[in-house]
Amino acid sequence: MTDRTIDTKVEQPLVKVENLKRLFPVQRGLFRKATNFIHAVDDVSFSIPAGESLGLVGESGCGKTTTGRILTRLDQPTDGAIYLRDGQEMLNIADIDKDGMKRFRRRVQMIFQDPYESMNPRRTIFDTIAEPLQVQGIGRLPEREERVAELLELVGLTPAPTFMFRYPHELSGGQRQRVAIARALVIDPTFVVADEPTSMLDVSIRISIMDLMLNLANEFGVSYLYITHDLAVARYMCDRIAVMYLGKIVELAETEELLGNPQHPYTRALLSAVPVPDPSYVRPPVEIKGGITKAIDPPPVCRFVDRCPWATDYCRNNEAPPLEEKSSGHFVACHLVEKVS
Amino acid sequence: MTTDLHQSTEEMLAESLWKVRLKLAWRSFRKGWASFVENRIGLLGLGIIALYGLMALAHPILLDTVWDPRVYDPIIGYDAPATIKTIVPDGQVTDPETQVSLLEARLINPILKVGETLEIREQPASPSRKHLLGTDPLGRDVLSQLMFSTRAAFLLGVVASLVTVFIATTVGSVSAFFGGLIDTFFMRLADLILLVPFLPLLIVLSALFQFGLLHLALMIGILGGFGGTAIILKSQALSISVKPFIDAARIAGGGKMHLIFRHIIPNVLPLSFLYMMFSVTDAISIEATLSFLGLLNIDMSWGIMIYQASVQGYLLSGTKYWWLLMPAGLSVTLLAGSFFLVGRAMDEIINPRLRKR
Amino acid sequence: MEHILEVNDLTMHYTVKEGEVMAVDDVSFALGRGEALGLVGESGCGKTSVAMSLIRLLADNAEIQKGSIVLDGVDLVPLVEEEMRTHRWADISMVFQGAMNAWNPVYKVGDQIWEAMQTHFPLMTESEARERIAELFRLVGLNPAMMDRYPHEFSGGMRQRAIIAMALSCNPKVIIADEPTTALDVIVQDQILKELKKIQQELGMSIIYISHDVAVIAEVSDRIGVMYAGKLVELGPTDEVFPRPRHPYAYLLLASTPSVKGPRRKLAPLEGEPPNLLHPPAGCRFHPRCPFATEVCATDEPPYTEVDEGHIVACWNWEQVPELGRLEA
Repeated sequence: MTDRTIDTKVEQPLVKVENLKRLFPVQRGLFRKATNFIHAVDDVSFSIPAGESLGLVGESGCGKTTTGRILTRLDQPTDGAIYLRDGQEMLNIADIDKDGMKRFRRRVQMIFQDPYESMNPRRTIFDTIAEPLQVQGIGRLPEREERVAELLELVGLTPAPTFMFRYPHELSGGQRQRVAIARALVIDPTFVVADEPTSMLDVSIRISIMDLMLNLANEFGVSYLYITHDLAVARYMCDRIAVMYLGKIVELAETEELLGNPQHPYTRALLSAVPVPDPSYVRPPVEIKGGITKAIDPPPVCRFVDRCPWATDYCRNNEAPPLEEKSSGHFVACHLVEKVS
Repeated sequence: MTTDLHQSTEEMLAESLWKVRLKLAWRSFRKGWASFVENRIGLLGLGIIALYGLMALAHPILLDTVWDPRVYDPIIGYDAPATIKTIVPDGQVTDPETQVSLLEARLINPILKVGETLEIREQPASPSRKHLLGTDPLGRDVLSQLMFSTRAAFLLGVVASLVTVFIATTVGSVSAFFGGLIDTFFMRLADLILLVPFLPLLIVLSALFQFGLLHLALMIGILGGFGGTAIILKSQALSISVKPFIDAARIAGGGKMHLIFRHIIPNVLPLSFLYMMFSVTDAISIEATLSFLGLLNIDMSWGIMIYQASVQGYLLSGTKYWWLLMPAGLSVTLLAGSFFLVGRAMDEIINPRLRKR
Repeated sequence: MEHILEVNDLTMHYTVKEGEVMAVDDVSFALGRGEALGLVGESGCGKTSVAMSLIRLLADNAEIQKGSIVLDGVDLVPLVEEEMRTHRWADISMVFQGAMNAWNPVYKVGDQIWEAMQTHFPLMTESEARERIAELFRLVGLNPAMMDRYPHEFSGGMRQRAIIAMALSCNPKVIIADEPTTALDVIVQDQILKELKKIQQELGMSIIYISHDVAVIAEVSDRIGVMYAGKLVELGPTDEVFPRPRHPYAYLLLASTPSVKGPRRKLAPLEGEPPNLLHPPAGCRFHPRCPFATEVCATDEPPYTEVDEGHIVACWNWEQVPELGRLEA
């Protein structure tokens, strides 16, 4: 098991995910037992050092959101281990007791994609932001009020008292996402999962929200797992990027290394498919064919083999390539890396 | 508008939190009221309910002050207004108000003769100044009965609908949240209740157990609460329990009870309140039906009034004895209908699909 | 260049309970034959309202106040609905935002396209129609055999291709593509955009692209129009506007777009939020958010200035706006 874990240079990462798996049964008929499974997340391993942010990038259905939900324990892994540093200890959050869960909830928070649906319409902004404090019994009411006011100032909703007792529907999408950030940071977490937090916002507002997240992360030493389909956004937000395809991480590297020197055929295709806001730039052609499918009981070979322009018989007949370090800090899961580059 | 809001929230912060919440509740109530008032139908319904409410309140006061209980008590009062009529030969009645034929007079007293006078006690008596809606076949004032029964109707409606909504909201939210066996159990139970016809079941039960008003209210409430209303509120709770804000609350560390009571139920409540209106309608009409069939062990209600008219043989008498049937019948229709109208108007506020704007 | 479509002073209002929403205000542009024009802006800037006015699919509370829409010599604005119907789809058609989810699930895709064609080609026989649809399918990169399949058998990208085939079915002179790839993954988006570009070049089609995504517009359009709060604030050749936007809003919009290419740079945030079009700000509508605003901006509406040939901008201080430069510098 340990030989498969990556990032040996990081002594004690903040988050360490080992061989994470999540299978969803495909229901066929009411009473029949499920015999087929969607491999939403399949043998995923990575780690995040404290203070660093990792981008999880992929197309819809690649398992990035499921991974995020498991890391916040909204969903349970079928198999694998997830460690979160809590002081000197590493909590295993894949298998956690009630007491551990309490500690876990103080450390990990989440920012959701939809600023309209992620807040209870019947609770005020104060109730929404103070909720983690309230349910975890942190502080008395005046202290909570003070803390919420402080956070509202931090996320730029000033003057704070004018926002505290409004309802979500009285705020714009950008303002709500600021509230969501305030809620995520109210209990001083060390790790925040952000699931496409800007994809539903207007272009002009996105940057200010992303800047806010970056500034607060620096100030409070928060690490993000930043889930997005947009490589350009991931580039802006993250220190390292992991590219997922059908439940597997196919490539993981420092952001500029990954974008400047993509190794996996899928990463290359994904990268050359992203439109560039400069009409004089001519993108290289996207070399893959077909569309994304669902990973229902996939054969044990490389998941990308049907769409890969370079696939050989070796790829079709041998077990899926493991995620291996090809150069310092650059991990790729492909049999043919040398040939492709 | 916005500056207004700013000022008021700033002031709010200086106050204690419960006062703020009260103010917020008041603000949202005012908003809801503003859109409710736009809907004439709802306002009409509310007007009718208020009218009946006034009647219910006025009844005990009237009995204490202007109405003599011996005459006007809705259950044990008695009055048969007497008219003096002259006996005329058969077939020569020219004015039925003051004259009576010999034949008819001798049915009452066989020794009477033409030219003598006869005191006829009317029972039921038609409306007069003393009895605005006449008296019933037992000589009791119909208006007094009508007003007295209003209280019963309200009590029944409120208790039944409160019980319905309390049960249905809890059952619906709990089934939606937990799913699995709990959900299956409650939903099959609801199906079972829906499967058994409501009214015949109540008829059998009331025949067996001598139902009073409160028993009936509880029975309707329980059957309604575990029945159809639970299914409707469950589907609402289900649509809420999959929203991201539930996940957000979970990540905040909220336990099951926190999620159900702070997040799901507050969002189901508006719909619950709506179905409360509809279940008042149901309760009132069910009571009327059961009373009409003589299956309830209660002294007086609109249903009993119609039942009395019926057992005394006035049910099919057409319009001649209209005051025995019409006031009670109309009241059942109006009050039940007005709760329905209020429900419809609320539906337009609560249900965004129906909202015009 | 010969113009296929000329829009002059188009003004469109929505009437709501609180008053008039000035969704499109004095918008003028022309579309050359075979040209691709991109309209870019945030949600609520009026870009979709322009499209809906062009094809005249307006909500009941919307009204074109003034202006003309001259399509191939015919002004569409005074036409009544009956007359408009002969032009819609046949002369000007549209790929709607999210239209790929609007297929009726119970009919075959080919039949749905045929139904759309029947209004304009009532005499077409079934075999002619099938041939035409097969041709359209090949054009958009779909297997013609797919016409006898149901929508659920299509992937998202294929459904969008079929929508484009339907928009092309009556040989329109102008196609409006409103966010044609917004809900699609990047690789599929790339395929669709390439397909559209190929069709445009092969058929000499004139296309108006509408998108919030600056990068998409940069790739597909010859000219770009930037809209803000119902106004067209800048219009010019894409090659000129991108390295050197003259309107502060266009500048900030481009400067705040992250990219996977070029140096990793700090992006410029746009402070504030777009105005409520019930009560738009006086003067220039962008002045409350504009870092270059001066006193005149708050009082007087800026006129259009031709800063270069075919490059116009509505700003008092356009000379202050710095150069953005190319990514590959």
